Amino acid sequence: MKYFDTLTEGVKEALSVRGVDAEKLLYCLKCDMNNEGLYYDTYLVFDSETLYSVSGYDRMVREKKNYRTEFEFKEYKEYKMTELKELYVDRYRHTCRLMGKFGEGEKEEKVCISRFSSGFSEKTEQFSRRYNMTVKKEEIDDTPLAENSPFCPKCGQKYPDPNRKFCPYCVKRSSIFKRLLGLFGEYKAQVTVIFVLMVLSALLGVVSPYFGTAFLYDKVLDAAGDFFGNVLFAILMMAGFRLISEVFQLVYGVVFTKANCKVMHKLRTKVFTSMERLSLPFFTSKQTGSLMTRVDRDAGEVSVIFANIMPSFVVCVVKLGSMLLLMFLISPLLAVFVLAMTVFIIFSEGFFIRGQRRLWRGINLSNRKMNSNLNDSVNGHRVIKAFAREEQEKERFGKNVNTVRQAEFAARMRGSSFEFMQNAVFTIGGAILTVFGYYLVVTGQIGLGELMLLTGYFGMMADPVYFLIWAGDDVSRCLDAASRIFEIIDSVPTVKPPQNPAKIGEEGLKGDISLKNVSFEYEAGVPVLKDISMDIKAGQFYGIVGKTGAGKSTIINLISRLFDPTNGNISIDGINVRDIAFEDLRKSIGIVSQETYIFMGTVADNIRYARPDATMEEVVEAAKNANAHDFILKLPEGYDTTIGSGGADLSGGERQRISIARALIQKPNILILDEATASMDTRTERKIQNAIDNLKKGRTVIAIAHRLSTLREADTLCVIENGEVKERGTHDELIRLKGKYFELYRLQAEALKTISMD
Amino acid sequence: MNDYKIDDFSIDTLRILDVKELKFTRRNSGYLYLEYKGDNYEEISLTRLQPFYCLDTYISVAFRNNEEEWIEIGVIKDLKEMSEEQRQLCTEYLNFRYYIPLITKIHSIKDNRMGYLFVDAETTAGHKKIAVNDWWTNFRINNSGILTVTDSDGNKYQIPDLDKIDRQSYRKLELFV
Repeated sequence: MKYFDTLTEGVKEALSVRGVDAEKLLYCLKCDMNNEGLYYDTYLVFDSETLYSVSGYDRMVREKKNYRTEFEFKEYKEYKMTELKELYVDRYRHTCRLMGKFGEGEKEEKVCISRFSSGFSEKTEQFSRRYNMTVKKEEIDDTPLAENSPFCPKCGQKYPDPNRKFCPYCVKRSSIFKRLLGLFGEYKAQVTVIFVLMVLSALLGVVSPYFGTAFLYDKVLDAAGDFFGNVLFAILMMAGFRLISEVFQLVYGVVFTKANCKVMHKLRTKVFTSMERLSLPFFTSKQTGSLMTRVDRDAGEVSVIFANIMPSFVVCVVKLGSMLLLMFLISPLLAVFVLAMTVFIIFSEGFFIRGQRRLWRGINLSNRKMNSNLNDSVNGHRVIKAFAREEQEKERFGKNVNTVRQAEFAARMRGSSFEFMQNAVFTIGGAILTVFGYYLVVTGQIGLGELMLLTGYFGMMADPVYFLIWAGDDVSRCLDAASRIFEIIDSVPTVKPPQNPAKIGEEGLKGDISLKNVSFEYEAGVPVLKDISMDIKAGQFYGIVGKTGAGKSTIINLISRLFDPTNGNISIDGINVRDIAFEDLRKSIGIVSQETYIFMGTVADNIRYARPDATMEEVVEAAKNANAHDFILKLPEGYDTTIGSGGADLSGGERQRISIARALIQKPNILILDEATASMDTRTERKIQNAIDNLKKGRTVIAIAHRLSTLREADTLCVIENGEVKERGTHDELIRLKGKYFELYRLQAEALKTISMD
Repeated sequence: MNDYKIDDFSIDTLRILDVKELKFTRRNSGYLYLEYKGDNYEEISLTRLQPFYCLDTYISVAFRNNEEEWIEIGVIKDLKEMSEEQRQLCTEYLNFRYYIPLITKIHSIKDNRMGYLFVDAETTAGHKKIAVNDWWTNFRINNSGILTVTDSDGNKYQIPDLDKIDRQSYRKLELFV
């Protein structure tokens, strides 16, 4: 029993006591609620004859370091398959019920078997389907479940987001950090040089003040000193050490910048390549903005950890460590005092950070709200003007700006007051240190120069201490960005390329397309296609009609393998599409869809997008066929006009014609037209229809259209409704049938009549 | 009455139902049945037009036709206009349909900073550890101060009034709302 949930020991025992053989159980489902809406664990399992239900409470019991699940038994029920004929899911807003149908015909009775939160609906649908198939003694294929398992293979926990094969439980921050360091693997020599130079530079930076203080006062200016009168030497030493430290800093900065830029370039390319490899569901489940952020901003955040945080961290630790060591060597008493001050500052800073983070989060939130508002107003300016809502928009924006102002004011006020307090603590601490230090000087316990060095170090400690306190936030932010980047790199495409693709000749696929019992759902539990079968012969013109949302475009997405069906098989020329290499498949299929996308580039580049080697003659020919040539010539630079983002504006119809030309130039054996002429005026549509009619010769054409007149000539027409094939035949046959197609045709004809009467 | 058909070219208008003519009955399965002006409808669905703001007013009444489409019969303007027994039946159905666990206390919110938050909370349905992915999207607060939390499985939880939750829970939440 591999699916869908696992039986706990307690439930197994409850079943075994009642004579149920766990070995014979086929599927298991856990529901989480009782009829009153309280959390309650119900395990449903079935074998080939009976559905069993065991309810109670799963309780986590801690045993030393591990947790064990203990089951508190409450209720047991069983339903014979001869009585319980069918299971189905009854959905409400936030919860669902698993319903059972008992009896048949007049005696049919519906009973609630269990209740659960809506998040369980996907597996419950799958469970019900399998139960119903078992009742009907049908064969069950679990291969799609194995391919799209929602569980992490490492820890067995469910992925929090089924579209993201990413398990946060298995990712450790230390492992992300190690992986980040690994990016510098090929720059080991440079990294060693950088590290050594960093340490030396920090040490020299600490030693340098010694020559201006302890050495100068106690050895040079003191008549008893070894270097009495050698002021120039002291100054040279001080400046020399400082200079060497700066030179080291410069060298490691240059070496580091070179390596870092290369690593970041590699990382950005890797993220982009990984993204391109992923399947369509990955993109449809994410906002474009968030994906763009990953390539751009997240990679930038990651670079901060190397460019700023790591070098500063090394330098700060070396500086603090060496300064404290020197302080202890000079005066352990004063060193302890300095250490106590530092600890006090760290604690007070920690207190400040907690509150300040809250205020910063406030700024962040209010800024995001303001930006969303701004985005709304800029993108919706036509509507705002059309409805004369400028004043209201101004007021809305004003409110949001005010929230930002208040949040920033609160954060800055608190920041400023704390900064004042911080400085006060340092000044007072410094004063106490000096007074106490002079006492030690007067009593001859330390030299004047040593005291000067100590107070100097005390001042120098502020920056590294603050850096180390605040670095935690920066590190967290960078590691978050890195984890998001690695998530993309590690994501596995849901539509996988075949391991051993079938060999397809130069001429490509002929276009014999067959769909057998195909079902599909974008969202779990909401089937879009239900058990569809169709055969399209090579060279046929196949029309698909149906209402919006009937599932027409989904069929096309499945044939071109943008998605894989949940159940059933699709083959072209007798080869399963899962065994055809993406390149061969997409080379043989040309799609003109209702959503046209124009890439940034010239008109000619856009037309030859699928075949960059196409000659100019072929480009013009395709444009002519697509009735695009005339409007292209009217553009300021003809075929060289830049279109797409930032380029010349094209109307919906013009974009669609470019998209048709793009498909035509590919000369595909299978041409798919998904509402290809929807945004065109009647005359242009007619012209393009003629062009398409020309192209049909020797090609398989699958066309979806709302205007049924465009599909009259189809060899076969297929009517889809609610994801099912309702009717099939030629135009004349379907008209004679007087069914769904006839109804649609009549509706359109009547609508035209109404228009002509007007 | 599942083969209910509307005029193909008629314009949809708001149909306020005459509450005196409505007769709902509930079957053992929990489904509602309706008799209205001599017509019988099976498996009725009641939908609040404004589920946040109007719990008892503007309730859409729909039935499922043979093509599995929900067809609206009309809208009940105010449940209070119904008889006590009918009103109670509709209210119980609506409470069941819109049932959502309400968060009463928050023990802790752990931000593991991998894009997920783990909220340990007490709800009206019992104790729950809620994993939230992308809190910016899944913590939604509306103008009335109702906070809706959607967990990574798609389950929803609500805090009906943020101002009324205890101070400690609010302190834990305020970073995210």
